[in-house]
This record gives sequence, C-alpha cells and structure tokens, in this order.
Amino acid sequence: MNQPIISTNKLTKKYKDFFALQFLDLTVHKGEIFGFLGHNGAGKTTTVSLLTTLLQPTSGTASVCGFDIVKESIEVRKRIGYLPENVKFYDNLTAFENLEYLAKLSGIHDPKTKITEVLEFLEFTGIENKKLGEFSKGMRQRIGIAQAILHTPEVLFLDEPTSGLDPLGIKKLRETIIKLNHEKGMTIFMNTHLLSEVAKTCTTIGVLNHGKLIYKDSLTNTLKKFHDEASLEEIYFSMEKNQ
Amino acid sequence: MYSLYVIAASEVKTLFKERIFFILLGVFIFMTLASSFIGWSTYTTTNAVYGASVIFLHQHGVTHVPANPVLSFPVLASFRNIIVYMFLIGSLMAIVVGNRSFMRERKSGVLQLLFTRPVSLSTLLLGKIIGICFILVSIISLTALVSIMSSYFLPLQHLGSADILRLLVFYSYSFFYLLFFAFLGLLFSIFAESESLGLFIPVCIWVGISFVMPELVTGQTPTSLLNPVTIDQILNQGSFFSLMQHFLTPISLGWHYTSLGSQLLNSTVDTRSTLEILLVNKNNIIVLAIALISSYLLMFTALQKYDVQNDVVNE
Repeated sequence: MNQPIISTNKLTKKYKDFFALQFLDLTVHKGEIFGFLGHNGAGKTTTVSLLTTLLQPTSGTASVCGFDIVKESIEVRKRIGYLPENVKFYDNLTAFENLEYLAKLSGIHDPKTKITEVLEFLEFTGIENKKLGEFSKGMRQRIGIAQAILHTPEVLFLDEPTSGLDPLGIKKLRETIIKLNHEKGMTIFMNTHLLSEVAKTCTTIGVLNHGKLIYKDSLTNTLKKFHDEASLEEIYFSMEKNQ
Repeated sequence: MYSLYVIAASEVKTLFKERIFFILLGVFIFMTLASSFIGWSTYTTTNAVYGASVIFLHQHGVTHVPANPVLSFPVLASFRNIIVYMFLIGSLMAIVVGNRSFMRERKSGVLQLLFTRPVSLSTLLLGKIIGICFILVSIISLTALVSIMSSYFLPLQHLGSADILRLLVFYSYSFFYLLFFAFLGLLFSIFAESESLGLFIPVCIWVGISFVMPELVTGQTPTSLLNPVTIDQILNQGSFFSLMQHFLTPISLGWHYTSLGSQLLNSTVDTRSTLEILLVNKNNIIVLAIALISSYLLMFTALQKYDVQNDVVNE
C-alpha cells in the first residue's frame, strides 16, 4: 500500500499564457482509490491526460508504475487503463468488434477469451453482437470500463466516470470500481465532481484548484481533521474558499 | 508487427463498410470496363471496316490491298483511357481513402482510446498506410485484371509478355501516384479543423496537380492533358509559358504521370524497352518518390503535434 505508483514532480502544462496545471507534486500509492476533486477547469482532465500520455507536459516530470510518462510512454501505456469522460467508440461496429480491436492493440493475442472473461466480471454479457450505436450512456460506460481493464492494468484512470449516468448506473459503477480495487488489486485514479461518490468509494482525496494541488490526504484523516461532523461537501467548499 | 497488422486490418475492414468508398469504387471499375469496351470497339470497328473494304476491293478487281491497320496499332493503346481515369477518378478516390482513414477516428472520438494503447505514433501511422496500400493495390489489381482479361476479346492481337510487363509497370507507377493523393488526404485529415476542410484542401491540390500545373507546363497545347500523347515539341509559345514550363515541369506530378503513362501504354509506336522508358523518365519517378517521402514526414509531424484532448471536429 505504501509503494508509490504515480508520482509527479512540479508537473506543469501551459497553453500560451494559461496554466492548465501548475507545479503539481502528487504521489498516489499502490492499491489506493484516489479521488481527484476540483471545479470545472481546475486541471483534473489535464492531469489525467498527462499521466495517460495523451498530452506532453510543458515542464516537470511524472512517472506511472515507475516509468517516465514522456520517455517511456509505451511502457506506461502497457500498465494503465483509461476511461475518458464521454467515452466514444466505432458506432458502426459491434461491442465485440470494438473490444477486439482495442484488445489486440493492447497486445492480447486471444481477445475472445479475454473479452468474455471481462464482460462476465462486469456482469455485462449478451451484448457482444449489438452495435455500439444502439447502446445507452450507461451501457457505453460499462463497455468503456471493459476496454480499460481488458489487459488487466495496474492503474485505472477514470475521468468523471459517473457523468451522465442515472442513480442505478452510478451505483453499479461504484460497485465495479470497488470490485476492481479489491479483487484485481488495481489502483484507481478517479476525477470526479460528485463528493458523495468520493465519500463512498475513495480511500484518498486530492483537491485541485486553478491548476494547483491545494490538499491531499486519506479520506479518514480528512474527516478527522475537519471534525467528524462536517460533510465532505462542507470541507471541500471551505478549502476552496481559503484559497 | 502484430500491432501493424491489427491496425492495417481494421483500416481495411472499416473502409469497406463506408458507402462513399463503394460509390467511388463502382465509378472507377465502371470506367475501367468502359475503357476496355471503347478500346475493343475501336479495334473491332477498324477490323470490320478493313474486312468490308477488302471484299469491296476484291469485287472490283483490286488484288493488292494494304495490310490491316489493326496489326500496326499498338495493342496496349486500347487501354490508354485508363491513364485519364486513374489520373482523374483514381486520385480523387485515393484522397477519400486517405481522408476517411483518420477523419473517421477523429469524428468518432475513439482516438483517446487508441492513443493510450501501447502503440507508437509511427506504428499507428504505418499501420494505416499499410491498410491504405492494401486497398489501393486491391483496386488497381482489379483494374489490371479487367484490362488483361478484356485484351483477349481483341481481334487478331493479344497481349505478349512484354506488353504485360509494361502494363504491370504502368499499374505499379499508378499505385505510387495514387498513394501520394491518399497521403494528401490523410495529412489534411490530421490537422484540418473541419471534415469538409479536410477534404477541400487536398481536392484543391488535386485540381492544381491535375489541371492547373499540366496546363501551364503544356502551354499552348492544353488539350494534351486529356489526350495522353507524348509531346516532343511544344509549338511556338510565349515567354510566360516558357518560364512556367521551365519551373513547373520538374514538379508537375500530373503531367509526369500522363507522359510516362502514355509512353508505357504505347499510345504512339514506341520501340523502346520498358527499362529504357523508365530510365529516360527517371526524374519523374524521383520527383514522385520525393513527394511521397515529404508527405509521409509531414504526416508524422502533424500526428506528433495533434492534440487529442482538445480536438473538436466540425462538419
């Protein structure tokens, strides 16, 4: 649990004069479910994009599973799974065809067995031959999780995974995240707006404000530090207000 | 290697599910068949007229008749219309193939998933190019097959091994010519802000290469563009066209294509061997190779700078 799996050192992303992320120093340990909180435009998605090697940092360094995100991006990609906000697929292909293609690109040589195994794990079978264009938001999100865990990654990045889901979908997703963490031992890095979800799912939280990390601690310590009676929502707003 | 194969196979599979591709392919194959039919028709008509003339002359007591003109007509000349179809429709189809390759994924938003797989940008690009090559080779092979098969319906003449070699060299050259346009389509689909712009810019370049530049290069004989006959001498032109010809001839890919194509397909009686023709036209081949390498490097650079996170494609 104490082994760092994600580590950033003054990680910065700048667009012209605008800092999307400023000197982020962050450590996430193996086995954690890390909830990354922040308002819209705080830099959460930028952080995930940098850590998943989709973006290149302007300055600073970061490593995931011990590999540098710039110099060893392919090694990083082998060990991560990523579910973007509003995950998109080839809508004219079936769920199986989409997953098969992504599995093969992840280096899986027997995708059929792996896809069946993952869909059974997610309790989402019988949809393999349906085209993605016919799927609801919740179903797409579950296929999104499936594609992210096909290759059994060490770290799973989820960007606003509950966005657009109904309460039942949110509950199922929460159960899946906890199951992945407990049964598969995956470290989860989750960007979210929903403080209630963080309280129910995460073991550690970090708060980002205007591209700067303003807080990071375990959920238990956070609740203790800010008095047990305070809700996470109150704590979050007091942190943002103090900045 | 496995990733290359996976990307290339997916490229072919997804393109063969697109309607626009089938429409263009249908038009192209129809044109090839039409070209073969026109060639066959010219031969049979000439042969029939000759036959009727011989009977007429014999009936009127003329015993010495000239040889059948069909026999002196180069057999490959019956395929010369293919140069124009390849030059116009083939290159346009190649632009669409290249454009769809990346635009499809940009529009669907699936690139975020692809770019987090353990596949390098060069592998991704090369995989796509292999897929595109496979598609172009399939189309060209189909066209070549139609041409070769149709030659067996020609009266009196059939393709010899030297003719088949020339035909194969012509189709190979055509493949690289079309590949350049596919590269253009792919290049602009990487960084164009909208889907229509991604297609519009390479089409403008296609117009420049196919019409404007050859027009300037051929000066006062602009119809030579659609009449692929080797022009050895440009007649009596002004200083503007002389200047244009001087600067544009080395880089006029379209003109090179029609020129070399017409030499290979023996539009005029040409006794040179295939190798001799290629050696004489080596500069044309070098220019095409440079164009291909440059566009590949530009594609790779554009892909490196492509911001998958902030990409929004308009219609």
